[in-house]
Amino acid sequence: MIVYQCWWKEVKPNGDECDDGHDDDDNPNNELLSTNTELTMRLLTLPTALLACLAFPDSSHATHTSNWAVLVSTSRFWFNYRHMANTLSLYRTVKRLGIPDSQIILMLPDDMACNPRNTFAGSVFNDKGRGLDLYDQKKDISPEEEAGGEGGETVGQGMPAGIEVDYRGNEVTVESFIRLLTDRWPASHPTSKRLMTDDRSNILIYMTGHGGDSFLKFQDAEEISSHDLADAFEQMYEKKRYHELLFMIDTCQANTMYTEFYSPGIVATGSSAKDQSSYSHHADQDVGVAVIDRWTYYNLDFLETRLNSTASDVRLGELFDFYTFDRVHSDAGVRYDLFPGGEHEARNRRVLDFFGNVQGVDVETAGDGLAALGDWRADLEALRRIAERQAAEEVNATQIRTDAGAQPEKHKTGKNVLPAGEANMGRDMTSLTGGEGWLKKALGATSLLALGGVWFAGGKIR
Amino acid sequence: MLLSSLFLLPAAVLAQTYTEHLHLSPLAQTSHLLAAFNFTSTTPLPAYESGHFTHFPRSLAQILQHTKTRELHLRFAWGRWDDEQWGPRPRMGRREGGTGVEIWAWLDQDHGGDVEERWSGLVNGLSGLFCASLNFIDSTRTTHPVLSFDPEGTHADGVTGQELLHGTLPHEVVCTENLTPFLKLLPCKGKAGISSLLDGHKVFDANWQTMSIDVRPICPAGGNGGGECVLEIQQTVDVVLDVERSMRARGDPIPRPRPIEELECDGGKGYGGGDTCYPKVKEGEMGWSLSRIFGTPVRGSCHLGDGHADADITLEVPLDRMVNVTNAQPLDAGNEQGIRSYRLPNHPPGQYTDLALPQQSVTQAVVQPQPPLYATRTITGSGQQHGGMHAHLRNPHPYAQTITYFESLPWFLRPYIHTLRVRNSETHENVKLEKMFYTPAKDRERGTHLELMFTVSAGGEVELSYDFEKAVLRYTEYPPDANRGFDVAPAVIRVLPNDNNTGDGGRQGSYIRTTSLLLPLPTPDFSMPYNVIILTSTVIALGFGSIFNLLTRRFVLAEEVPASKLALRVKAIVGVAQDVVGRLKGTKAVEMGGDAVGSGKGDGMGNGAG
Amino acid sequence: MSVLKQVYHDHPKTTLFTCAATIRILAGVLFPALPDLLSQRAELSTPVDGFKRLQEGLFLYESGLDPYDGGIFHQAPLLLPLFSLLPSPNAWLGRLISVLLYTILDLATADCLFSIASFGVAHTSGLFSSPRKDRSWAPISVAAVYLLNPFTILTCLARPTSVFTTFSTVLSINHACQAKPTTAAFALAVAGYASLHPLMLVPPMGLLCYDRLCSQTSTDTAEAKSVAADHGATGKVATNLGVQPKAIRFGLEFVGTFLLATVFLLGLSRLLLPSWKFVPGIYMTLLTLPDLSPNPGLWWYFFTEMFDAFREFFLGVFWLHMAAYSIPFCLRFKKQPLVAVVLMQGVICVFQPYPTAGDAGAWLSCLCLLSHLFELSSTHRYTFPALVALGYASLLGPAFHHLWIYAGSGNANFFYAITLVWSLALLILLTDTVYSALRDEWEAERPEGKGKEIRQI
Repeated sequence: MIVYQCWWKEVKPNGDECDDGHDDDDNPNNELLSTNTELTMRLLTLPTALLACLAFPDSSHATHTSNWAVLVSTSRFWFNYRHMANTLSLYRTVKRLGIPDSQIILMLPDDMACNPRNTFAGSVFNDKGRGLDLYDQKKDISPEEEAGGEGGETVGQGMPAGIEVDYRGNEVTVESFIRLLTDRWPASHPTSKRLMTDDRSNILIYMTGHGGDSFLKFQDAEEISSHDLADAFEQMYEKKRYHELLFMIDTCQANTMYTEFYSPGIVATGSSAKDQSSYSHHADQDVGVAVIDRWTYYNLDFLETRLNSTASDVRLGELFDFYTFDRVHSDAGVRYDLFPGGEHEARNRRVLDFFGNVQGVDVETAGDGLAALGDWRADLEALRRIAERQAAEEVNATQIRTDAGAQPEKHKTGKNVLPAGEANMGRDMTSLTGGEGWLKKALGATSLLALGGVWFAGGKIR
Repeated sequence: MLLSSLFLLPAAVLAQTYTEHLHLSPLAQTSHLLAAFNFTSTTPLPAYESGHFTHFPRSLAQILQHTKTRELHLRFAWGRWDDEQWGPRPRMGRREGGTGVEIWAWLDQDHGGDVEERWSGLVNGLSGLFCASLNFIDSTRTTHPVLSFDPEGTHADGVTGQELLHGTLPHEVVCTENLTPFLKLLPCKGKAGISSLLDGHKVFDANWQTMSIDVRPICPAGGNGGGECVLEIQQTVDVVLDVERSMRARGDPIPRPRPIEELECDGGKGYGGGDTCYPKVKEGEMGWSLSRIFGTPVRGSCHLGDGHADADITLEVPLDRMVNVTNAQPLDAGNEQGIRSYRLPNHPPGQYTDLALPQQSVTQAVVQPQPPLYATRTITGSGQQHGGMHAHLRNPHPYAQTITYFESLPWFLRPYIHTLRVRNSETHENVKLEKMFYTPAKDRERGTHLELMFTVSAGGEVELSYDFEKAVLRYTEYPPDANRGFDVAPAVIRVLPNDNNTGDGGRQGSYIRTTSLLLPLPTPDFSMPYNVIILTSTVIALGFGSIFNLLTRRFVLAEEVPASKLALRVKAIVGVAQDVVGRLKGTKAVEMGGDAVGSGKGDGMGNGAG
Repeated sequence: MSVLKQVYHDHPKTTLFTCAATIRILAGVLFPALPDLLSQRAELSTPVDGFKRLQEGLFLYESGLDPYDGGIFHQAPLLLPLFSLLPSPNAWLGRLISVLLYTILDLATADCLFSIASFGVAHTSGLFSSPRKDRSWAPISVAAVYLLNPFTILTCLARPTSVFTTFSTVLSINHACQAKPTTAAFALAVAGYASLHPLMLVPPMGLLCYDRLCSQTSTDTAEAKSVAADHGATGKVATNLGVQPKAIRFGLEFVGTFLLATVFLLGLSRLLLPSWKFVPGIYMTLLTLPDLSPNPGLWWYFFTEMFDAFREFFLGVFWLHMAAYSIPFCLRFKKQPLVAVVLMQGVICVFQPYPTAGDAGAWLSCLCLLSHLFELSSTHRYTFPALVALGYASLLGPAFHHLWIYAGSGNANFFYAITLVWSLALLILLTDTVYSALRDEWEAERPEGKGKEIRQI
């Protein structure tokens, strides 16, 4: 497995990424060692990096090769704006830390961005400062800023623009959530809406909504119970659908949701103990509703301030210790016992093992405005090159085709076909003529007479 | 209008091309701006079939090939086109969808495999591609229209081997997550050229917007020898923006009173007394620029080396209106229709282009043309059991027009077509239906398909109405917001081409879609399935129990009933109690004993009956 | 006044029938909007018999489409040619004619009831004679209850096609009482063909017919005997026992006729329609209840709220439950077959999937055939509370329906609760009648038990 990873690293053009790869393989036992190598590796060239990968084989076999995130908001209606904002904040964070859109399953039960009640069309905010639009942060560059060059500020922080919601509106149900986890779908279900994980995948599952003791409401219409969830995870485990799983839930009495879990490899954390509420953090007067929940707010606070790059070596334990009662106003809980190695191992996992991607896409930080700017120009140049190459190819292709000449009509060959949709079409009802109608009436009258005739005949029998 | 003439540009251009185009036209008498984006690319059909997609988006191509889709039309729309103020629709309504999502496609009928199955594959695939719940288009939301849609492409053997399927999702919200994949299909991915203007914040703040994707094969008109067929994909985004609203600051879109320093006072009002500021009414047309409306200027260009020199941006404003152009090459200073065209600079890439129109008084009045037809559709009646549909069509033109009227209704709206009346609003005479196609709905299997063809006389008004009944659904079939009601897809009205109204591409005619409707259904109480099951079962058990109790047992006289053991025991206990009481109270014990025997008998009866 | 009295005394039946017809037609003429209003009431018409749905089916039939290839029309195909001969009921004339047709049906039904009552089958059968036969009502009263019953009058104006089923059923009883098994089976087949559940009446109806046949044969024999005795030619007459028809043979014949008639009706329907789709269109609707429109019955809300996994199970249970009464009634009431028939009608009226108030009205009138038992049920049972509850439900039902559907100030539970009360009241009446019939039979054996407390063991 390690060999595979290193080979994979080698083909990547960027030498820095192998560092990240190495960090992924990192073992807490040689933490000191790894920081040293990190320093030296930056100076080394690719083959050396490859050697380094081989030189420090990870003694723990527990590595993963892909990261997935399932982010679920379960409440509909405008006044639950904050749940949407919670989920989108997490979406933005994992995307920033390198999980691609294709590996994030985002479930949003209602539309807040384009909701008629939203003053800020197309935007969702998680802070009353409204500095960051969670829904689609475009790189905001004006020509003047570009002229200024270095001085230009990009609020988007290099995150790819756009948003892809996989399940939305009425698609967000308990059934589709459980189907997603256990991957039981009809054949026609598109791959982008499936959780295509295997036993080397780390999964982050984040849920938020309104809940109670051992249940979480979906769309105010149905509930998922902690038993359902535990059974779904067990099925995932049996089908080898995850390697390690971090379950996070922000709802009232959240900790009751993970008490029933019994499958190994799960770390679970919730925002509040039994009989406790989870509170919202603050409201925005212009949006008109609360914009984020406390627990999620402090999760983000931690993730945004401590995880600045995909190389950040921050442990889960530090994140869990961040949930103090002073901050969250409820007793956040963590469950370690299912994790192999227990509390110690779980706390020692890197946060990026769940929130980032093993592929370690480089993060453009706020300072790299120019790089972000140059991005689309480079793309454009690349496109132009492709177009020119295609034009050249086309000249060749036309020559070839004139040679081949004889069969361009192949695709047109007619087939023996039915008249279009005969069976399904309604008849043109205006075509009925009067004569036909009378015929029908006569037939009807005859059958009625027949009925009467039989009746009288029946009467005569006796 | 220009757009209608620009509608079918490509027919002449073959092989692989890519063009993009933005048409800007302020809508007369309102402060609205219509921005119509069009991105068209073509790919030679043989290349497409052998897997060389070039400009054609691969993800879409794979879905289309897998489901054997010959022609695809996909629409995302939101808002209402205001006919009265804005005139006819852009592109003759042919690139417009009903509220929500609308899709229709021609699928190959042969090639084994059920058409319905491949249709389900198509909508599922597109649902993954466009982040929309298209997978909810099941058999109950799919119809097979006959009159309303004609294929736009050229099909070698006509459409005899193909089946047209049409589906709608009127409830679907269109938002940024649909625009993101839409832009990803473009060769420049929304990063350069006019597509860089498309931003969810502006597009979805519009009064009306529609996105469309149309895939069709085009063969040169010459028939066999005249060149090869191409597959064309057209992507359009048409938005109507409120100029004033769009130019508000991004961070602060809430309209607030201006600070007094910024106000221009109208000193001409004598009654003001000097201490009051009457804001001056701004005269003339409002000033605007691309960068202020869209939040960003056009970045670079997306000319993919095909040597065309078509206009990228056209602007339809009166010729005496000033336009400040930054970084674009004017191709035409303005033709007789008052249209100016500009081309984005090829080199160097990465320049910003902007058009700015200052505030200006314009003398030349713009005459808004009339739309082909005015149409409204409403639900009538009160209550949640019965209702009626009422559509009102008005022909503003001095010539008669033949139209088709297409409705696809959900199954839980049960129309009574025998009550269908199509009549002239003034004379109340019935309008003759030239054609009528009706497929009745079947519960949980398919929806209603109703298509009518009739003529609206010159300047005439036609009213169409029928009654319907609203079904009670099973409680699991209601959506989470059941009390909001259910959406009914808009009616699609096609004005067939005629002598007065050929326009370009006249074969298709023009389309009008009414707004979608909200249908309230009766709702059960969602909180009490258990209670209902228990209560009903109790009533049934009560009937069953008492009847079979009577049937299976026989009668005897009450005095013949042998006393039950329990009764005897009770009697004994009572007797003991009597003794005790009697001993305490002496003589009165006798009377009490008599009562006690009576009640003991009563217990016995109770046991017998139970 | 005295003239009127005289007229009434001379021709009571004519007077009653004229009055009933006048009420119906006058209501149709004076309130032209009333028939259409009533035909859309949930209490009076259901998805399987509504008049508006019949119109829609008729429209599809006349336009050349298959009326059963859709979710609206679920009524018997032979109604289509009948109604297509009538003018369209949207106009004034057509509406009046349709009311007239239903009035005629009502009069025919009343006439059948009159004739059944005059046979006295209810209290005197081949094996049994009630000690209370003198207490039964005059036939004219039974007909009057049917004709002047508000439920029947409203139903006549609302014009559901269940009236045809009612008529065929009563006609079948009438012919069974006349000991005409062929026509009785045929009429019952028409009823079963129109709405399936009269199938459950086959055993009691066969019993009734057989009983009448036996008693007629015995009277015939007795007459023949007396005639023979008059002529002094004894010994030529077969013994009483010998002419008694064989029970098994009769049963097979009766069921055979019924099946033959059903096949004939289905075949005739197939001739009129383009496909066999009408068979699932009519009968699967009744069996699987796809349409959950509110009605006074027990099924609709139960299956609205039912969990999807158990839907099929409970559909089966409900149908089996309904069918479970037929044979036990026949066994227990073999001495009083008409009682079995009327009780079975009651079971159907309460437990059928799409009941209407009209069905209840018709059943209540049929119940008057057993009028000799009323004394028993009113003294020993809960007839009065049941009747009061029935009145209460029929007044509050429309009100609660309005609150739910139109006013929006009540929810579905309001109307549901009333349907429960309605069904419960009908059930109590049914149970009371079972009790009275059993007690009456018992008292015939043991006259000393009259008026005394009795127990069941």
